[in-house]
Amino acid sequence: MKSQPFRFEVTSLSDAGKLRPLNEDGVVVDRDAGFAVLADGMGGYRAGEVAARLALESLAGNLRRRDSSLPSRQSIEDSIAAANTAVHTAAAKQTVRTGMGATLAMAVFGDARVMLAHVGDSRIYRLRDGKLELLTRDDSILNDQVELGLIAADEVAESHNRRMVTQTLGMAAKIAPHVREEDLREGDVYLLCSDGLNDLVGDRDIEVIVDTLKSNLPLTASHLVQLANDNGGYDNVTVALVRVLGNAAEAASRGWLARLFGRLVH
Amino acid sequence: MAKLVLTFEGKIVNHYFIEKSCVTIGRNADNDIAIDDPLLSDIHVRIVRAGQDDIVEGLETRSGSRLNGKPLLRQILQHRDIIEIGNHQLRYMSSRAAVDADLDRTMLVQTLSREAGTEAPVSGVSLSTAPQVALQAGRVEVLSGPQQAGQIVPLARVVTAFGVPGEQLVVFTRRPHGVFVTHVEGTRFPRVNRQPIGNTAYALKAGDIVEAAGYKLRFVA
Repeated sequence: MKSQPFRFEVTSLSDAGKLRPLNEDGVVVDRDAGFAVLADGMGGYRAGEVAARLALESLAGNLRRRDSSLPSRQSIEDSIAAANTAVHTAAAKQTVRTGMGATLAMAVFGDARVMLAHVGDSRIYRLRDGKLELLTRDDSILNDQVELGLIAADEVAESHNRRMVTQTLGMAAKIAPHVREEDLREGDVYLLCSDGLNDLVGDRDIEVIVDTLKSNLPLTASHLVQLANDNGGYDNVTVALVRVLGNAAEAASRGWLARLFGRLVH
Repeated sequence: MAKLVLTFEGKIVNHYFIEKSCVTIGRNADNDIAIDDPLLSDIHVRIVRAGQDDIVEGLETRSGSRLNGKPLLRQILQHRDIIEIGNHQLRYMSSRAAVDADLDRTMLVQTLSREAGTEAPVSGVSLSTAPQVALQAGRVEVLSGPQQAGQIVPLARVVTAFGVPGEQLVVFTRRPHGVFVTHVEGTRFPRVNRQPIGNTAYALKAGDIVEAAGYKLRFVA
């Protein structure tokens, strides 16, 4: 593998929540292969669990076979199409699993850039310079209604069709994933999450938790999941976190400067 | 847990969590929810828990009560139902509805077909107005350390850190049932009342002394 300008720290955490017996979310992060991918399965008779697993196996398999360079948009779309086919075919085979599907959020890193993709209402956020930014747009009826001006953004918590998604993996033979490419900066933290997080934890709390605790990613993940559960925990909640670090040699030479200018935080 | 939101002339007056197996609502002050409304009887309606459901019963027969515009006798409450009593409305909100909503979600996916090529614009709209439970409040008094002794730091947000990022950092976390202190990073672990707490989240009591990240702090509930 050729030398990369950045190193990564990754972590993930998935929890069934406080009310549901099953966890139909799934997540795979791989620091060496440079990707994070999560899926939120849906459909009765455990079909959601199966859909999420099939999608993740297909995607992780493809992503582990690539080299360390940034994949093209086309290859990301091809990987997602393959995962969609895997779920769709399985759904078609068994009537009990008809209607199973999974939402998707994924981030693939390479050459100082990242390709981000999503389907459905799983989200990708980025913390940069202490500010949290939502980089995806939910495929949901609700989001469409807000954008059309039919519902005010602050009425959304009240609306009861907030969880209806317009697109998932496995739902149809073809889907239209959203793919975008972003530059990486040292210090960026990418957060992928299932809707169990953002339905239960406000953006401002997500921001302060990720910004305050980012030097300990597992603690960041457990704080996010814990707050979702404290706020009701009525859904599965899954997070994947990727922190972008400078390469080791540069980091060492900057160590004394960091100490010199080390600031106090609150 | 379900919640009732009381409104009068379109304005929210109060919120009540249904925490008992029977909740009475009426004009009399003895009610679990007493509403000063001349049109109400002493005990106007009551909400009884039955298994996973809440059932509402109209107890006033003269002026009556309405549920979503229809006369109310006895009915299982559904998320977002509106109980009309006198000049007031009570909206029933159930967090369990979110669990049931998953069924709708699947059904919708089956019935909708999305035309390809409708690529969405970039950045998303932030829709997050997530429900907020009350987190335990607290303050921290600086006894010694990089900040002036005697300074009181309110724990205003869900997490508050002390120390230097990249070196030694400790975090105070507000949760519904208490405030916890946890090690974030650094080679030295925090001590509470002189006992090291390692990597665990420690539940603080008022007056506890936390030594971490070069600070000596007193937790004030």
